[in-house]
Amino acid sequence: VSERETPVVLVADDEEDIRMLVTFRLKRAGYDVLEASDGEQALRLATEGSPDVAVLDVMMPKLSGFEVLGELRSNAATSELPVILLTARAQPADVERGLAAGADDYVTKPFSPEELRGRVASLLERP
Amino acid sequence: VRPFGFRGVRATIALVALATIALVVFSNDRTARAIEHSRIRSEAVHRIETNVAKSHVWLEEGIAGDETIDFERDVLPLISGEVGRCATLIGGRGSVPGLTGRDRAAARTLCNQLRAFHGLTLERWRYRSQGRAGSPADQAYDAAFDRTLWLTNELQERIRQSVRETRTGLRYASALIVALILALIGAMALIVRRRTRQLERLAHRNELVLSSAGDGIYGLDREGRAQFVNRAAAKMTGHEPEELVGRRLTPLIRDSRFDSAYESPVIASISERRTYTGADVYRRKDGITFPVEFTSTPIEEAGAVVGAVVVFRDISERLAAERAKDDFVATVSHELRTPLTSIQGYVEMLLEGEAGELAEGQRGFLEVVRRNSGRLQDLVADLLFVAQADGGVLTLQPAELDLAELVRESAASVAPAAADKEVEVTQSLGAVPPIVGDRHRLRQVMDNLLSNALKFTPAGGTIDVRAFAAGRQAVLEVADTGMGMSPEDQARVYERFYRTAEAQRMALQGTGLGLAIAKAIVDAHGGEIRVESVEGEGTTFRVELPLKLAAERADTRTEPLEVVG
Repeated sequence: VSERETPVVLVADDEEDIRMLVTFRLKRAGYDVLEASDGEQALRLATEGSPDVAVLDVMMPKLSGFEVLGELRSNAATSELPVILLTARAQPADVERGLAAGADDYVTKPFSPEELRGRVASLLERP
Repeated sequence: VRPFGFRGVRATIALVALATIALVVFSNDRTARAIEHSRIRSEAVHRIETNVAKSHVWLEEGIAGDETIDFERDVLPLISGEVGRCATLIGGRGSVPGLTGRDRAAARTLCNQLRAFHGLTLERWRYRSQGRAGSPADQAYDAAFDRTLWLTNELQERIRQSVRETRTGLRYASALIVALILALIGAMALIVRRRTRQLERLAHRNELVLSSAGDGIYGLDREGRAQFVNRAAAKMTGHEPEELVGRRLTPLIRDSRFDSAYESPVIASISERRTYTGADVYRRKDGITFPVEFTSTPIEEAGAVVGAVVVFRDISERLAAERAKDDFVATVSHELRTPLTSIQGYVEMLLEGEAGELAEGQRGFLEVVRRNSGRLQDLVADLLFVAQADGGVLTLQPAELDLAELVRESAASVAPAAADKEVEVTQSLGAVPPIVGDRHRLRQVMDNLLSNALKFTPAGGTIDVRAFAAGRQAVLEVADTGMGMSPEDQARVYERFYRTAEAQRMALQGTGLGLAIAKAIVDAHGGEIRVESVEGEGTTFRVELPLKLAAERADTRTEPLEVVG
C-alpha cells in the first residue's frame, strides 16, 4: 500500500479519551498516527497526510463519519483508502448503511483496542 | 337489525292474496251456477203454469162441444207431463240439483196439487154431461185449478227470492274481498312504513358513526369514484365532502410523487376481493402532504364486488414519536457506550502491561473493573433491545439456519462457566430441517436460556439441551435439574425486570431482562416459549418455532433423537 517504512493511520474521534487510547495502542504497534477531532479535520488530514488506513468515528461534529467517507470515496486521491468505521450504534441497518457507503470494516463501541489494532493490521496487509 | 323476517311477511301477503283470488273465483263460479239453476227451475215452473192453463182452456172447449179436442189425447197428458216435470224439481235433473229446504217443501206441495188436479180434471170430464156450472165436480175443479196456479206462482216467487239471496251473498262476498284487499294494502303500508323508519334510523346511525369516526373513511366504486366521504376524511384532506363525492379520489388526495403504482392495492382489493393494508402519502387541498396508513376492503353486493371502502389515518405524529424514540435510543446508546469504551480500553491496556508491570493485587482489582464494565455493557445492550422491541421496531434479519449448529455453539460458549460450576451440559440433537430466522437473535435466546439454567442449577446438576422437529415445529428445549420455580414465578417469569424470590434471596446476578428478551425474539419469529417447572426438581424451557421451509417441502417426518453429548 505504501512505500514508507512505517504505515500511517488516521484516527478521527471527537472523544479525546478514545482517540488517545487508539493512538497509544497503534503507536505501540509501530504505526504513525494522524489525529483528528472532527470530521473536517479528518477530511483535510486524509487528503494532506495520505494515510494508509483511516479509522473514523461515525458521530463527530462538523462532518459525520458517513459524510467524511462519502467525500473520500468521491475524491480520486482517496477513493481507495481503506476505512474502518467506529460507532456506538450496532443496528443491522447502520452496519448495512456503513458498508454500502464504502466502509471496509466496522467496529462497534465498546471495542477492545487490541481488536481494533488487528483490524487495522489486516487492512494494511490486504494486497 | 332485523326485528321481523321480511321473508315471513312476504309469504303471508302472498298467501292472503292467493286466498282472496280463490275466494273471488269460487264465489263467482258458485253464484253463476246458482243463478243458472234458478233460471232453469223458473222456466220449468213457468211451463207447468202454462200447461195447466192450457189444459183448462182445452177442457172447457171440449166440454163446450169442440169436436177437434180429444180429452185423452190432448188434455190429460198435459197435466201428467207436468207432474213428471214437477218431480224433477224435487229430485234434480242433469246438472241441476234438486231443491232443498223450504223450496223443496213448496215444490212437493205443488206436485201433490198437480196430482190432485189431474184426478179432478178426469172427474170433471166424466161428469161433463151434467156439466152445468155450479155442480160439485165443477166447483172442486175450479178450486183445484186456482190453487194449482197459486202454488206455481208461490214456487216461482220462492225461486226468484233465492236468486235475490244469492245476489246478496255475492255482494257480501265482494264486500269481504274488498275489505280483505284493503286490509292487505293497509298492512303492507304499515310494514313499508316501519321498515322505512328502521332504514332511516340505520342510515342515520351509520351517518353518525361515519361522521364521528376519527379515521378518514371513503367508499369508491369500481371506477375509483368516491361514493361517500366522511367528515374526518374531508377534514384531513382539506376538502368539503361535496367536493369529493362522485370524483375519482386517488388523483385528488394522494401525493403523486410518492408512488405511482399506489392505486393498485385499492383496485386489487376490488379485483382480487382482498383486504389490503399499507402506508401512503396523501396531499391536502393546500398542497401539504402527510403520511397515512390505510386499509382497503372490498364491498360485495349479491356476490359481486362493487367497490371498496378505504379507512385511513394520519400517522405523522406516530412517525414523529418513533423517530424521537429512535433518536433517544441512539443517543443513550452513544452516551453510554462511549465512556464504556474508554473504561474497557484503558483497563485492557493496563492489564496488558502497557503502563508498566502490575502487582498481583492491582491485577486482581482491575479484573473486577473489567468484569463489571462487561456487565454494564450487557445491560446497556439489553436495555436498548427492550426499548426497541417496545416500539415494535424489533427488526429481524431472517436467513436459513441450522438450529442444531446454533445449539452446539451456544452450549460450547457456556461450557467453561459450566465446568467451573461443576454442572454437566448434555446435548440431544435430533434432525431439524433448516428454519428461517435471525441467527444472531436466536443465538441470544439460546444463550439467555442456557445462562439462566446455569445460574439456577447447583453443582453436580445437569443441563440437557435438545433440538428436534415435531410436526410443523422446530423445538428447542433447555432442561435443568436446578431449584425450579413456583407457579407464581412461572406466570411472571417473562415480565421485564421480574426476578424470582429465590434469585433475590440468593442475590444472583441478573437484571430480569433475559427471558423478556427471549420471549420478544421468539414472538417476532412467530413462535412460542413455554416453561415447565417443579420446585426442587428443575425447570424446562421449551421454544417452538414454525418450520416454514419444511412445511413447503415434503420431508417433515420426525427423525429419532440422536444423543450427542
